[in-house]
Amino acid sequence: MLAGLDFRLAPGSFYFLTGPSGAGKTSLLKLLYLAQRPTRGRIRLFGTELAEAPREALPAFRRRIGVVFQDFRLVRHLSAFDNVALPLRIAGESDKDVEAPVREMLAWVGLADRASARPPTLSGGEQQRVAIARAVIARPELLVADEPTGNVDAAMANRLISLFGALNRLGTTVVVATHDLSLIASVPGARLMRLEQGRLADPTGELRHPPARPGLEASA
Amino acid sequence: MKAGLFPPPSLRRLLPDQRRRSAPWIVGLMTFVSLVVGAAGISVIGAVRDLQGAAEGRWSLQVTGIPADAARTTAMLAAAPEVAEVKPVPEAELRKTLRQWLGPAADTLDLPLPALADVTMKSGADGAALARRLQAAIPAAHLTSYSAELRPLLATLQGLALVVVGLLVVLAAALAGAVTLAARATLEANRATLDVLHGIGATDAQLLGLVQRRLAIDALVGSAVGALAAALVIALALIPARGLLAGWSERPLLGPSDLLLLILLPFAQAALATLVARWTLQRTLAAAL
Repeated sequence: MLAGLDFRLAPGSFYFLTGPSGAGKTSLLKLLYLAQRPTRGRIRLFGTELAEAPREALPAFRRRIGVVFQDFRLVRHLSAFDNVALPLRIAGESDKDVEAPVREMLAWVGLADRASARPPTLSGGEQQRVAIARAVIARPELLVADEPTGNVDAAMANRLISLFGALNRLGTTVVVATHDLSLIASVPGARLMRLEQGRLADPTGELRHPPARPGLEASA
Repeated sequence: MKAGLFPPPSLRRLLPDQRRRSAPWIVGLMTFVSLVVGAAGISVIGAVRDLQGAAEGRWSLQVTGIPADAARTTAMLAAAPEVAEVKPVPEAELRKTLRQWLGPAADTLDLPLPALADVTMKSGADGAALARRLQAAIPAAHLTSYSAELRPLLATLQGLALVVVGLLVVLAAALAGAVTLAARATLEANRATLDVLHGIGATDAQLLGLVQRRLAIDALVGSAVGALAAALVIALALIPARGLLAGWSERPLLGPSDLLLLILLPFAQAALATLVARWTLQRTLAAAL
């Protein structure tokens, strides 16, 4: 259970969220990607108060958020290509407009030759890369990833984190929950958020007072 | 992604094709039963209307005892202002009817047969008053309306028609319930996919379009199959049954307007199924964040 959280994320920043298992990392991420509402408190995202926003308003905000789920959540009967294309199709892009970016993204995550493979035929690492490609294909303003490198080797983990870094340099705010502290060093300027027993440690005060510019705020 | 029943193929395949679906069978069975029951009900209602029409203004005269009374009665009725026509039933016809029960003996036995006549009243005439006048003048004469004679049968048929209407309402409710379950089952079967789509920003209208299209197709296919089977049964069983009304009505048991109503019934059921499915889906989706 989360309690006493009060923080702001500076737009365009890169955050690692750490903490022991059961500390509430996944719960906090769910609040960020609008899969849950807080029982009390508020969440302000993209300049809009969303904790009590009508549910009809939420899909438009969800499209501005990329999510890498811990369990991938790929659609089993769709190919890797179609899984990656989902956010674009949901946003109304035509098949023609979807083709090139999806191929490019699949190449980027090293799965160009697995485009037509379905998730059950992919390894855990390959599935994770498809999930990451799907999360970033629509150039989200906020990218939330729950243990995104848990199933890949160190080289692929660094490659994926550098993809997140590249997105971040384009302006995407990135929040990555991870146990792998070695990743933190691979992103210069990344900030650390540590959750313990549902509370957020902020020894430097940077989370409560990030560099000025409206960003993402949450308090509970 | 546009909402609606006809999303493009790239979106249609977002939901897997499930070959073993129950909805078409449920809708097909309901359509079949509804059509057969509906056709039977329409036939009964038509029969009631025909019998009522045929009995309207028609009376039956029976005179027992003295043959002179029969002649007097016929003359009195012919002169009455209420009567349009008096048509005595020939004795040969009476004996022919008796032959059905007594066999050839009906022609030879010296049975005292009553004098019978079919009496047709003028429109709006008070037949009951005439019957009372006649009874007072000639006690052996009895004038009875066909409507009165047919009343128990008509009441039974009207009751039957009401039962049929009630059955159709129950069937529609059962269809709605079955489709609600089928819609929930479809949602449940595709829960993982729908959750993913929901999580990456699909609107309720988009998800509704995907699932509803499938249920609408199921409803249409089921209705079509059920309607075809029902058409066979109606053609084989109900249409020959018009012999029941022989002598009362020349109208076919199911007229063009009745058939039109029956043709519209499967479409109405498919529409009902689609609307119920849509409502169920909307409610279920609205329960999620």
